[in-house]
Formats: sequence, structure tokens, C-alpha cells
Amino acid sequence: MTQLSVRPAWAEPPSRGVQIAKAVVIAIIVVMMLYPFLYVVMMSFASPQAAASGTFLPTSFSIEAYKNILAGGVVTRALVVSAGITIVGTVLSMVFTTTLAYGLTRTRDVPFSRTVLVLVLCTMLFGAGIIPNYLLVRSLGLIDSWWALIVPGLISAFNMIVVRNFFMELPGELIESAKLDGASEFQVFLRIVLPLSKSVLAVIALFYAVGYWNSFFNAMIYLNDAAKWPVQLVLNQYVVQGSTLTDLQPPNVPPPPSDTIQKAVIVLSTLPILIAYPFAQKYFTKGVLTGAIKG
Amino acid sequence: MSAPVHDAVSSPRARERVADSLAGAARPRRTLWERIKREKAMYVFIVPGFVFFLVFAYVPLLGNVVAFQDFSPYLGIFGSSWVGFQNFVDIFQDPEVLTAVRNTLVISLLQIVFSFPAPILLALLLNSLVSERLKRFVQSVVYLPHFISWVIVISIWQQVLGGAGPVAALLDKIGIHHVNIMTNPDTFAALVTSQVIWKDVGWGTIIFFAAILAIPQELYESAATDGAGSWRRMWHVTMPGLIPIIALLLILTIGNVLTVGFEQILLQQPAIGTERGEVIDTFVYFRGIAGGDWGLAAAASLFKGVIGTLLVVGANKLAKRIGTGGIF
Amino acid sequence: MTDPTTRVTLTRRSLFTLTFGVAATGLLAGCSTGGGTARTVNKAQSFAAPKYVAPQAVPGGLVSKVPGMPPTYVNPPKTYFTTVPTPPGDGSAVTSFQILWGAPPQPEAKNKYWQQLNKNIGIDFKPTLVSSDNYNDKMATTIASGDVPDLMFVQDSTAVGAGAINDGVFADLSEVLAGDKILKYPNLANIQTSTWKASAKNGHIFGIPNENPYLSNFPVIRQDAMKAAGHDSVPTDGDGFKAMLADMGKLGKVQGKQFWPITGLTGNIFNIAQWMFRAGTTWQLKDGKLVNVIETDEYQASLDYLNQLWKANVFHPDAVSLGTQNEKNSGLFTAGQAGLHVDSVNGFFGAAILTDLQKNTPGADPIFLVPPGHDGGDIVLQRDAGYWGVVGISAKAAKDPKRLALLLQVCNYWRAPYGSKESLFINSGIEGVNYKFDSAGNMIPLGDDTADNDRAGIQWLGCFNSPTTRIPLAANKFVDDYQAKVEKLTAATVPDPTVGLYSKTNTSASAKLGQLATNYQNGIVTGRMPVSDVKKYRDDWRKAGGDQIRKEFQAALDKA
Repeated sequence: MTQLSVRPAWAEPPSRGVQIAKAVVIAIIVVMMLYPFLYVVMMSFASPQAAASGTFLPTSFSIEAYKNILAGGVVTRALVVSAGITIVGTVLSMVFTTTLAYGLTRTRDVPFSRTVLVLVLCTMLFGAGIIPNYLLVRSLGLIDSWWALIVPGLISAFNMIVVRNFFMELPGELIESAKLDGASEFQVFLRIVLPLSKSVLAVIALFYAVGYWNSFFNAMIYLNDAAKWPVQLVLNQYVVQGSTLTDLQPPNVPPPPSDTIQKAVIVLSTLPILIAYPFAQKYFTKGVLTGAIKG
Repeated sequence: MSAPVHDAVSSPRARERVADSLAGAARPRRTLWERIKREKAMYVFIVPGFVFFLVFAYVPLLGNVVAFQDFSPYLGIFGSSWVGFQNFVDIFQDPEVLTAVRNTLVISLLQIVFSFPAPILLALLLNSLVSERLKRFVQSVVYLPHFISWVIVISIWQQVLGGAGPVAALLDKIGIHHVNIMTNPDTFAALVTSQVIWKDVGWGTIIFFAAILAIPQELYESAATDGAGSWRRMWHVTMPGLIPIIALLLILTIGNVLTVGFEQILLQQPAIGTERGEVIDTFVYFRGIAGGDWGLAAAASLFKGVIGTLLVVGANKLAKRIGTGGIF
Repeated sequence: MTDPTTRVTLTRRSLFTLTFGVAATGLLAGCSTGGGTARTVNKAQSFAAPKYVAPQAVPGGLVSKVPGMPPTYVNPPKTYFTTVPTPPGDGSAVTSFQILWGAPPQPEAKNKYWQQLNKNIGIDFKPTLVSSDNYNDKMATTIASGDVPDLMFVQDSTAVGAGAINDGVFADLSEVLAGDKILKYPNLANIQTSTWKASAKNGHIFGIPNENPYLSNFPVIRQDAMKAAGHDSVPTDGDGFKAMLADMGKLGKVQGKQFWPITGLTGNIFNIAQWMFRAGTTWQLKDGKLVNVIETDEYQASLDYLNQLWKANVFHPDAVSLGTQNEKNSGLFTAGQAGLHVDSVNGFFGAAILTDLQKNTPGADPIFLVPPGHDGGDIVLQRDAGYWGVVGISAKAAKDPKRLALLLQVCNYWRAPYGSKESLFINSGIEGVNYKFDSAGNMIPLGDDTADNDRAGIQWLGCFNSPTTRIPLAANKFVDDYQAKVEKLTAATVPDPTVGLYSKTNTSASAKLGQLATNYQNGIVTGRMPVSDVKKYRDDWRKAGGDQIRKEFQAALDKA
């Protein structure tokens, strides 16, 4: 797939000064963002002794930390659980989010839809607290089930509103002419709206996927069986810093994991998303709407 | 600023704006029932999602009734005693509440001014790069901090900016001693905002990229043919394409002005002190959840929600009046 | 034939009602499944002590004459005795709610320790494992749902725990265990009367408490750093101590590593200063009236002292943050970069901090520290409350006396004393899987991390046997120093008069008052606030609940 790294014909090249300024700013930003992450990754590969000396650049290489975490299969299993929840959750969320977003694009014509929109908006401002949510999930019989991690968060009001916003910015003529040709709402949705919204759909799918992958609190509250834990919950056990209990040292507690293990945990918990991102990035290509008007 | 270029392309939102200005002009009258029948298909789209929000957002909200109780988990709603508005009174009479509100507003305002525009600027900067490879590389790099949890972020910032870190050592060499940005209460609001920018600016650009890429290339071409340079193209083509999403996000941000990072601030509060380090969420945490006072926590949440709703409604009206279009 | 429009309407409306109704009913039903009735469980009654039977002695320990100091064992027991001859269970499921400190254990099918536990006790153990930083939240939701597990570890100093006890979540064991009745569960009889009394609420026993020695945390100092700074022994007064720490601070590097005399400004550091100024216990009686330590002049002097240490660059620049980051702080000491460190037996010996320190930093010479009195006189330490959390038995489960007896038998097995086969299993695991014995009977860990994890996740029910200090072979050289110094410290402890008394405001306001303490103490020590702000602290403390707590404790004290 050819990527144009060529300046389009209508654009003039920027001045030397602007180019240098841009380069400097970008270089600074890249270093500031990349350095801490690289530091974490490098430290995760350090041998325990080198890490203890606290230098900025570790001097030896070892996969002790990873071996330690992955031994016993608990983490591996948790990774599979998380992957399953992320995939199922993202697919379901996208279906429900896009349909609701489409349904609310014409609040002027569809009675009560503006009310629905306002009600949905309000859910972003009010919270219920952990106990009512827990009792609801319990009354639906979802305690200790993976569905408790998907169903309560199925639609994010924010994501839905962003998608709706994009749908509403699409050119009206396309939809109108399709309807004049006899297309149903559903056909308009599937054949016109969705294909033209690839960029925002990729973005929202990415938001959902990251949300499901990182979900921690729901898993902690709703899952009692440790064998069902997703990866964030398992990895949290390695980096727990303090307890809410007391600051007295509790008796008979196993020693805390070393710094290298904690760094390896960070790498493991973010690695899958880093791998998945480039696939979503494919959809951030130029000019999705280019040519659509003429067509 | 000249009229948004997008009026040439008639989106549903543009037509809504036209309809707004025609308000009062005669339109064919239909009964409610006829309109519902006409749009039956749309209801198929709306109902499942709406039911979801009713069940999973509104039913639990009933639980906020404990704001008027001295709630105990085991006794439940029916077993706990009622205290009327006492929880609200407790909040407003607390000597710390003004400090918490003031700090929250200061930090929120700083973030609206600085960390809200940051992703937009970064998106525009990256958009102006010609090399696709470089653009993708930088895109991938800038979102990395988003994935690091606050505990690690604070720890890393401490290592670099703390009293024992390289920045302090450098400043020491040139004669400025005992600089510890991480423990200075006077710069705390700026520190918090910088941390938010560092962590989320990259992630924030994603949504703006999607908006920028939805702008047809022909508009740039025609603007260039009309003699517009790169800055004017940005102003007249790119920015108008971003206005809707910017307006949306700004309205939501304003609605959330009483919420600033909880974990981020809780972790740094011991070093900064409560005079500058207490915000509404930590204030409620120490009294409500950690203190086992569920009623007070619910009261605070209700109050924040009401204020937030008023702000969103107000911001939405304002947005419609200045022509960017609101959310609803 | 029904009118299509009517049918559509009915369907939609009933769907709405159904969903909303079910959810609402479920929610409301859930609201009342809590099950607690009026808060009469805490009507005061006189405390009826269970009988005390000392645990079977294991020969070879260093038994200290100082009360409150557990026996120290350096050599392994020659033989292990049995306290539970037959498995007490009937194969039924027993659920628990306990803290998971480390990595999660393997599921039961793969977990040898778990299977052996089920066999040994005769139950089908089903624990709910919760991380320590989310324990309160999950406890709150579990209690709200009414599905209380059979055995639950409760830290009754937290608001959720205290609230749960107060609302009757747990069974009242006072009658079942009083006097000779406890002899049915011989290992439970090893719990000292003072511990039962301290953990009782208004005379009611709501759980099996864990005994604590009089002192759990003690300081260690790097003697090599002292010598490098020109001090051969610990100075005998406050000024000398300050000078020594300041000199150690000027070193910059010790044994080649960047070094600070004190790294983390933890609660323990504040305690040491208070010891030196004899500030006393948190609550003290002056002429029969309760006074809080922060209201004393000695407390103010201790803060002033720490502020002087701060000005003398004794602390790490990020000491305040490190004070909340236990692992990092510990890590600095283990890496050889801290001069002073306060930890427990579990930390110094169990987690092998001392031996690791010497491995990482050759030349490091840690010794236990008895700080000097500020004026050369005695020091005064606060005696530990005497217990660390209780294991509560679900009130619902306990309604069936046979079930209650079974659950008590489970606790009985779990807290079998040191030297018993049961304790060997609970604490060390399975021979050949977690450890092996050498010819001298010493226990050699096999280093199988997965097997150790399997054990660690399951064993921490929160029900421990009477404390003993076990020092592993590798750390034997520290024993004499440990014994001598910690005896001195233990002998200097003084009990707090409010131990065993219940004040509702004390638990509900503890988070808020803790935040207040953090703010003022950190502020004064680091110089952000002047020492005279102690007055402001006292005022704020009184208004935020201090006076109310004093009233409640005083009332309970006058009644007792």
C-alpha cells in the first residue's frame, strides 16, 4: 500500500524557519513522551542487582522478571480472559453505540428523541456509587460472571455522542438521494453512513477496546473467583503499593515484588494495545470523504 | 471569521441551523402519532440503547436516595434511618469545603485554558507534516503515556523532577538550591495541569485526527487555488471542520468542571498539603467513602450532578447562540 | 382479532415495565437483603473472658523475661506435635473473604496446597481473594448484598469494618466461647485474655482476634555509616543523635552508593521522635481526664526536633512521598541507600531485608537501634493495641449451631501453635513442594515460586497463631543484637487506656483526622508551616471530631 509522502500539488513548502521550529518541537515532544516508557521497558529487562543500584540506564539484560510473572500460567490465562472480554465487548459496544447514535441524529423529526438524548447526556454527570450498581448487577444474576464486565458498560454516553456528532456532519444529499431511491433507514445506515464513518468508528472502537482491556474496578468488584480474573486485576497484585487497612505492617505477608517485576508488569499490561493500535491507525488515512460528493 | 466553509455541503447539522433560523415559518402540521409512525424505523435504533441507559444508569441512580439517609450497607435502604438534608448541611458547614471548591475551580480553569487546546494544537502540528512515516511514528509515540497508570506517572515525575533528581541537581549547579517542584504548593495547580497534558495530549489528538481526516481534500485544493497560504488554509478549512467536535468536547468539559483527577491528586496530597492539594473529590473521599459515610458521598455526588447539568445546559445554549451548534 | 396498534402499544409498554420493574424490584429487594435489624447488637454487657491455656511450649526458644515479647526461635523444632488429630470437617463448602497480598494462586485443580488444606481440615474451601487496596470497597458491596461469606477477615479500625460489626454482620461469640466452653477449641484458648478484652466491643466478642506482641515495629540503623561519619556508638541524647544524623547526611555516599540518613517520612519516624520526648500514648489519662497526645507539649517538641533534622538535610528530598510508598522506601534500605529503617520481624527476617542488604552492599552493618531520650533519660513507647484484625463468622451461618461449631473448628485448625504439625502446614506448606528438611532439621525453602504463591494466596485467612519470632538460619547472626535491643524497647512500652473501648466517631472520622494529621505533621516537619501551627492543628482536630471522640471514650472509660 503506497503511502504518499509527497506534498500535494496545491501545497507550497513551508519556510526554513518554520521547518526547523516544527522539527525542534516534535523532537522535544517525542523525547518527553518516549523516554519514560523506554525507561520502564529497559528496567524490566534488568537483572535484579542492577535495578537496585537505581541508575538511569541499566547495565545488564535478563528476563528474570518476565519468567517470574509468566510462571504458573495464571497471568497467561488472565491475558486470554482479557482478550476475550475485549473482543466480545468491543463488538457488542460498537453495535449498540452506532445504532443508538444513528437513531438520535434527527432529533427534530423523531418525537421524544431529543428527550432521550438529554437523558443520556445526563448520565454522564450523575453517578450512582458502587453499592447500587453492585445490587443491580447482582439482581440480574451477573455476579461472578464475565458478562458483568461487559453489560454494565456496554454503551459509553461520551462515545455515543461523539459518533452521533460525526454522523450529523455527513453530507445530507447522499442520505436524501438514497431515501428517494427507496432505501430504508437500515439500508442507509449500513450502506452509506457506516462506510463513510470509518475514521470515527475506528477511533471509538479503539476507545472501547482500551476501556475493556484496562477494566479493573468492575472486575474487582464483580468477580469473586480468582480463576476468572482478567489481566489488569492479576497484574495489580504485583504493584499494590499501600493498603487501605492500616499502616501497621501486617503479619506473615509475602515480600513485595522487586522493581523490575513491577516494570515488567507495566509492559505486559500495555503490550497488547500497542500491538493492536497500528491496525486501527490504518483507518486514519487521508480524505475518507474525498470523491464521495462527486459519486 | 468568515462563514464556515461547510455550509456548501449540507449536513444534517447545517440543515438544523437553517431550520433554527426559520423558526416560526410555517411547516406542515402533523399529529404526534403520525410523526411517530413515520419514523418507526428510527425507534428500532433508539429503543435498545435507551433501555440500556434506563436499566444501567437510571435504576442505580435511585440509590442516590441514600443522600438523605444515615446509610449502612448491611441495613440497606429500608433499614437505615432518614436524616433529611443533614448530609448536605454537613458538607457545606465543613471548614475545608471552601478550600476544596476553590482548588478544584483553579485547577479546572487551568486545564480548560491549557490542557484542553493542547491536543488540538498537536493534531494541527502533526497534520501539517508531509511524511506519512514520521506522522505515524510520532502519533504512536505520543499516546504511550496514556497507558501508564497515575501511580507510575507520579513516580516517574518524582524521579526526574523531585529533590533527588537530575533537574534539581542541574539547578543546584547553577546556584538555585532546594528546588523541589513536587512538593511546592504554590505551583501545584500548574504541576497537575502539566501532568495531565503530558499524559493525555497524545491520546486526545486521536479524536481530532478523525475529524481532520473527514475534511474532503478538494476544499484544501480550492482554497489554495483561491490563493490561500498554509496558515489561511488551516484557519478557513481545517478549523471549521474541527469546530463541531471542539464545541462538543468543550461543553462536556465545562459540565465536568467540578471534577479534576482524583487518583492523581490523592497520590500527591501528602507532599503538597491540603491548603492547595484538597479538591472536591478528595474532600468527599476522606469523609464519605473512607469514613464510611455513604450518605454524605451520595449527597456530594448529587450536588455535583445538579451543578454539572446546569452548566451543560448553559454551555449548550451559548454554543447554539454563537453558531457552533450545541449537543442537543 | 386484536387491533395491531393496541398490541404494539401493550408490548412496548410491558417491555418497559418489565425491564424497569425487574431491575427496580431487584435493586429494592437487594436493598433489604442486608438482613440487619435495629442496632442493638452493641448494647453493653460485662465481658466474660474465655479461659486461657498457654500454647504447648517448644523447647529451644529464647524466652524473654520481658512481658509482651514473643519467644525467639533460632533452631527448628526437633519434633512436631499434633493438636488436631482428625479432620474436623464434614466435606461441606466453607467460604471466606480474605486479603490477597501477592500474585494470585493457581486454581484449585492445579493447586497442591489448596487440595491438601481441604484434606487436612475436611472441607471444600472456597476463598474470595481481594487485594488490600480494594478491600474496603469490596467488603462494603459484599455486605450490602447480604451474601456474607462464612469467615471474613475484618480490620475493625476501618469505617467499613467497624460499621459491619456494629450492624450485626458477624455472630456474637461471647456465649459460645466464654469460660470453659472455649476448651472445645483448644487452639483458640491460646489467645490471651488481654487480647480478647482489647478486641471486644462493649463486652461482646465478634471475631477471633490475632494477637500482637507489645511492639511490632523497631528501628535499625547502619553502623557502618555511623562510623564513616565519625561516631562509634549511638549518642546518648537528642542533640548528639541529631548531630550524628547530620554528619551521616553530609557523607553523600556510603559504600559507593548515594545515601540519605532517613529516606521516608513514615509514621514510624514520627513515633521515634515521640519516644525520645516521652510524648506517651495516643490517649493518656491526666487526673482521670483523657488527653490526646497532640495536645501535649512533648508532642510539639518532637515535631520541632524533626523540623531541625529536616533543616540539617537528614531527610531524602522526597521523604514525604516516600513515606507513603512502603515498597520503594524499603527498597532503598535494602539497596543500601538508607541509614535508618523501621520494620517488623516479618520485614527484617521474613522478607530477609537484613540479609539482602548485606548481599547487595558489602560492608553494610545494620544494628537494631534503641533511640536515646532527648535529655539522656528514658524513652516511652506506645504499646501495641494487642491485636491485628479479627476473623468474623457470618451471623447468618452461625444461626445453625452445628455450622458455627464447624467454622470455629476451622479457625481452631488454622491457628494451631508453633511447633505443631498443623501450624507447619499452614505456615510453611507441604514438604517436598515448598520446602525440605536437611539432616539437622532445618527447613530449606525449595524456591518454587509458583508453589509458594499457591500457599501464600490461600494461607492468609487472617487467623494467626500466637506470635513467635522465627529467625531463619541465614540471619542467625542478628539474633543476639535483636534480642537485647528489642527487649529494651518492649520493656519501655506503656498501654493506651482506650484499648478495648469503642467510640463510633473514632472510626468514622479516622480518615478525615488522618488526612489532617498528614497535612499538619508533614507541613511542620518540612517547614511549610511554622511549629506554632500545632495550635491550629489542635483546634482543627477538636472541631473535626477530636472532642467528640474524647467524650465517647471518656464515657466508656467511666462506665468500665
